[in-house]
Amino acid sequence: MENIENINKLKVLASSFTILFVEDSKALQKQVMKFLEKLFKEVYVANNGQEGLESFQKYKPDLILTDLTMPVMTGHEMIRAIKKLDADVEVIILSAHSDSETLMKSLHIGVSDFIPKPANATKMILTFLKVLSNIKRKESQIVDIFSKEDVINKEDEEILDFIFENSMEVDIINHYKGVPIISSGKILEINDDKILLKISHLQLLAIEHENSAILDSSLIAEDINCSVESINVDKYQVNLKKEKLFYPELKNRDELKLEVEKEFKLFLLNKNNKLGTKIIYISEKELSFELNSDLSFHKHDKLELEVSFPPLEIINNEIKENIFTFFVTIYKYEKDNERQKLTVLFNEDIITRELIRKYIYNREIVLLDEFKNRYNY
Amino acid sequence: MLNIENEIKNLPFVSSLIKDLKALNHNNTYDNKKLEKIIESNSLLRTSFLKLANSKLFGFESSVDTVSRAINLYGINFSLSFCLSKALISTLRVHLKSYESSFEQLDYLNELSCFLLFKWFGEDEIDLQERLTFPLLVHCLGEFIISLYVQTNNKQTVFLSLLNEGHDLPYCERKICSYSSSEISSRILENWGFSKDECEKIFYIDSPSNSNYSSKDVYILNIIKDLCNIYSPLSKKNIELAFLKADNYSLDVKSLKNAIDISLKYFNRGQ
Repeated sequence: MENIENINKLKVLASSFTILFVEDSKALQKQVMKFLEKLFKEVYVANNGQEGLESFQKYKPDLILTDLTMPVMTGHEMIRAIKKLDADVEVIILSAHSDSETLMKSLHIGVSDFIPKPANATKMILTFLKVLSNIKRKESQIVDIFSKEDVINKEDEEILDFIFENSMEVDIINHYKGVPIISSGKILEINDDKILLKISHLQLLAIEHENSAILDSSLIAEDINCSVESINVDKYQVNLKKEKLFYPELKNRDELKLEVEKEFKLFLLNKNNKLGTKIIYISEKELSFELNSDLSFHKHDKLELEVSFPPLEIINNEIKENIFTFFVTIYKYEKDNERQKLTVLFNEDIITRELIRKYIYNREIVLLDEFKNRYNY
Repeated sequence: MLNIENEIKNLPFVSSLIKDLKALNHNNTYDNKKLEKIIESNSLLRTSFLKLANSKLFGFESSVDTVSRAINLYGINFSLSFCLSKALISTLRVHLKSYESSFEQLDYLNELSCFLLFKWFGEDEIDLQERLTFPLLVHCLGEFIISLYVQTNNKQTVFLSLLNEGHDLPYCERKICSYSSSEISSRILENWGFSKDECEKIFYIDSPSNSNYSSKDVYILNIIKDLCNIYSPLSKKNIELAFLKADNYSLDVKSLKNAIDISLKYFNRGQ
């Protein structure tokens, strides 16, 4: 009776998650896949650690179930590599090796749980329930953590002082319509929460545009969000005020997430309807947009989009047709009354990816020129 | 008069990007992949480099849409010189109003300079092309300082009158602030830790006959700088002077004429 209850609970919980199953034994693959496909939204399979790593990078599954002893790359090697890309991903090991040394090694590399072979249905159900509940709980906790105001703590103040006293550099990060403008600068003075920096002229213009700046250093895990107190263009100096500490997303500061021009149109194709959207940003791997509709969406849903963008001015003006349709997968979804915000990942269609890449590069050039012209650079 | 010491003192420090590019240059072990990585990590370099590779004047026939392809086509030496010059220029406040010019025009004239250099001295003189690309692209740094000085001290009218009287640019610059732009550029680069060699080459661009240095290099730089000067590029007077100088310095006049003729076609189209 309890088992049936747990299965039902698991069916509901797992239906919105995807899983990657890594196993070299074809027989076991077939057996376990039957079970997983009844529960999870999407099941990806790989035959060894190397394929598992590649599949992880491609599909970004929510959960990984993996064997340990495999050819080409072992389970432990694969997990280590995956954890470098995403330290938080949940991994369950399915292995005959349940000796204490293997268990300790697994714990040290951040494995969430262990299912011994031969696989027992009850054990699998309970383990999945536990791990998936953890994921759900973490998702709601993350919102809380980042909504709190963080104060610069003493240790980080000391690190900033250390950087200053040793004449080291910090990087200053700004953006113009999604184009990162980053350069290094020297701290001239630190007074309580004020930092005086000497930086390049281009960076000064970017700070003036955003009226803020983010300070980043490889010595500090966090970044510091700063507001602008004053700018002295003649001396290439800016006085910033430390506002908030935050953990940047994988410190992926070079990523381009560009605003598009108004001629760039995006439609969601649904049955025979074409729904208009408002694009928030586009990058080489994803697109974020808003729309008003009563359709319901879920993470991992596949959508068909139609895009039309203006002729590329600088790179590859050989493209004649600028209207394309392609498929995407929902990666994030938020709803606020009728307003829905979706972030989607481009699927593996090479032609679409190539077009998007060319568009991004071209748009970046246009935006940076626009920035320079705007500030009479 | 311009207080050069003060100006130098006010300059920003050299960024980590510039240091990384200089380090690539210094080692003489040219690493395409490293350069590609540096360029890809910086929006300014990436966009400037791809824009150049797709430009009508100094780009290629088919479109170039990756940094690695652009490096392969231009060669690592040129690519490095170009990116280093871009990084240096973006460090300073770009001010060219006193020359009645703009950043866009400067960009174009830098391209034109490279075009002239590569057309004048063909594939037989690759070493020379590689040696002179960097000085050609950075001798303009001093112009920003002079332009700002002229405007801040209300010397615009005097400056423009001198130019309109037909005096050459270095003469007018020295009259107003005691230094020519190349001399200031040289001081800037010296302050930023560039080699004595490079700095001297640039210092004497406006007065090549004073140079103890390799005269041919400095004379070539002098001629191209005059031809592509920020105030009156490819003017009839400067073209005639260029031929005269080339002849005096025993440089190839026929090849120079050919390079100028082709440049004029692009110049007239582009302006």
